[in-house]
Amino acid sequence: MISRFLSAVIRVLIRFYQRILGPMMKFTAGPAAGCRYAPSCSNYFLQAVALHGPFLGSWYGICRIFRCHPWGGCGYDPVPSPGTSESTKNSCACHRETPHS
Amino acid sequence: MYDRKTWVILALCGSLLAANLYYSTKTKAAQDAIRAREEALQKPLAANPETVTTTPADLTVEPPPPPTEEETVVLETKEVVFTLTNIGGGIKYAEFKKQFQVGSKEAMVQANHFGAGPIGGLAGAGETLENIAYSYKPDESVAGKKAVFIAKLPSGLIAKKTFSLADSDKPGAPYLLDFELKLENAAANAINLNQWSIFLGESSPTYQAEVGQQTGVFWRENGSMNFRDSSFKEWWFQSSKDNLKTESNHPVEFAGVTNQFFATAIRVKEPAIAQVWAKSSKVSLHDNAETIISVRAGLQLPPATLAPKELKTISYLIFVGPKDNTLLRKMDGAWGDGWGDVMQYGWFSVVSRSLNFLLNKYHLLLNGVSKNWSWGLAIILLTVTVRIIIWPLHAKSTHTMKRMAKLQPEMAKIKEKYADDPNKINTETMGLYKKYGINPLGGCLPMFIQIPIFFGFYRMLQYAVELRGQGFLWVHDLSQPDTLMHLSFLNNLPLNILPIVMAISSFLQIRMTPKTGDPMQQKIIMFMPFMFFFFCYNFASALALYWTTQNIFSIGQTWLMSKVPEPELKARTTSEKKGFVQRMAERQAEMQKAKSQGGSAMRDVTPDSKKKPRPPRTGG
Repeated sequence: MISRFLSAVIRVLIRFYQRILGPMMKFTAGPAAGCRYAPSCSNYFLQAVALHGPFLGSWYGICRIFRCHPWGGCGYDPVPSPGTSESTKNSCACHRETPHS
Repeated sequence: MYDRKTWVILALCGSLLAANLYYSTKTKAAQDAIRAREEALQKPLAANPETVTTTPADLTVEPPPPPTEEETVVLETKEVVFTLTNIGGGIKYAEFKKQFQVGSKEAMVQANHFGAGPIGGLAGAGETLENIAYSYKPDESVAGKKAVFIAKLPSGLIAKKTFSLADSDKPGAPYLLDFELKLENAAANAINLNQWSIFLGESSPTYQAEVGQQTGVFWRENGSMNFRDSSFKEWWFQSSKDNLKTESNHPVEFAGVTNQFFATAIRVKEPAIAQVWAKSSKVSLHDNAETIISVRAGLQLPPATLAPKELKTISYLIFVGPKDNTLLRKMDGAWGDGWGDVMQYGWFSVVSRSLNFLLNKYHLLLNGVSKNWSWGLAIILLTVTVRIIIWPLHAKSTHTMKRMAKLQPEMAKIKEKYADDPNKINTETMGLYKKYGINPLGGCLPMFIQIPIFFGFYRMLQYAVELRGQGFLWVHDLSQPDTLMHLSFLNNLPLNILPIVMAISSFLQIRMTPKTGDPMQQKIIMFMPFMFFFFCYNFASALALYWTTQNIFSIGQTWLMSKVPEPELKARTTSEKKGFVQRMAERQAEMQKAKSQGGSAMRDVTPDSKKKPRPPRTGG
């Protein structure tokens, strides 16, 4: 019950972000902003909450945002399905190699 | 043995347990505090006989009959003129010698201008001020340094108030008054003091356009600052109230009222559990002007019961001054803790504080360049500094965006091929990027990181009292809109130049940056400059100056990036990418070579090796 309610709240917040906050943030933060992954961080968050509930889902979503930076990975990175445990790592090999100097 | 999920669940359970423990101890502490308070209330009554014999009854001398006319006394420091009155016994108003009203070079800003009573006056039941006439005691007062008032209150208490200048070299001293309140019970029955409160003054916007959210009441208890604006809401979803009374269980260290740039605060030298009350009312700055909201507040006296003939002395420190971050930070420690928190920087106070510190340093530096324009120049320099710090982020993304723009034809092909499957388009696009080693944009995290910087900067400029009355170019006052003239044919609409420049420059900036992302979002982003233009039209010119500088910097940056040779687009092969160890080895070999050729050669080689074009940044 509570988790359902929380999921709904998170969903509304993310929708609000996608419609209004996101464009505003992109405007103020300049061109550096934008997601490097598919699905995008906000969609990933939505899917994660739908799949894993508000707590674990949010955790996955937050982890994803922290991976989405210029030195992070990129590419197709779906939400891990509930069955698999070792799956939060992204499948893209963009940055598996050595870091740039 | 344990997978990641288990760890997450364990961590969650652990934090929930910790939160529960913390909460239960906290409520227990609160309950203890309430019990202690109740015990304290009962104790003095039991100890009556003792206190009567031990207290020196120096106030029992019947005070002289109060004068019928108002008498004012002036105490002056190098920054503030305190005008004290005998009606209510306190500071009628305080004027700041170096702060003038908006648009004036002579009329000083007055604190407690709309005061229902003097700062330091007593309020009784129902938070109404007892503006009783006190007698000024010239024999105990020192002209220009100390003022003493005495009166017998209707309740039977005799009150003696001593206001004296804080005679000290410590920072902030010119804005402080020592206030000693001596109360003696001259009645036949015991009197509890906490039915009265000390009046903290009344704060109202100093100019018509000042936002109501900036006027309010604040108090510090248990080491943390609380602020409520004139709507007295704790959370935005609550409904507005016209009065407030705290239910605190902790000793209140200080409390006060504030507006955008000035604050009045009264610090209790021995903090006791006390409630703070506040009320809002409507006032007008001029005749015919629209009403604005003004806030008055009071701080309850300590919960002590005075037996007949018992005497109690309560010491306070009154601060009436500008909310200057540098000044308040310096006062921390010198006059007790927590002064710095009077600045309402909000969530991103760490950012705001450091930016303010830098702004002041730049101002000192630029004072030598131009005395009149130094604050405006300091804002520009600070903006540029911040932008240079986040330059790598932008440079990187511009670089990638250009390479992405080159991929447009192939992208179009993909879009055509999988027109009915957006997911497939996404994956295919990402595959394309991977193939050419393009790392799309900066990412979501940099965007979130820039939010605190943006809002911190904004808040800092909004509350920077340093900018009051400071001109720059055609701007008269950086804390006000840069209204050049009022357009009489457009219903006296003010003509503000900087917001117009800001909107144009941000529009240009958006036009210049390569377009990516979905068209809907592009449209919203193109629309933003207009939205922000209307939103910010009447903002302080310091904010508009900051934003304009930022846009011009971005435009310059984009232009500079366009000068950088076009990045080549090559399909990525695994051999192209050198490993870290391999690169180090190569470098080592180069150094060896240089050494063998002698010192001068080495100097040539080092910059040379830097200039060498890097292998395409695969995914970077």
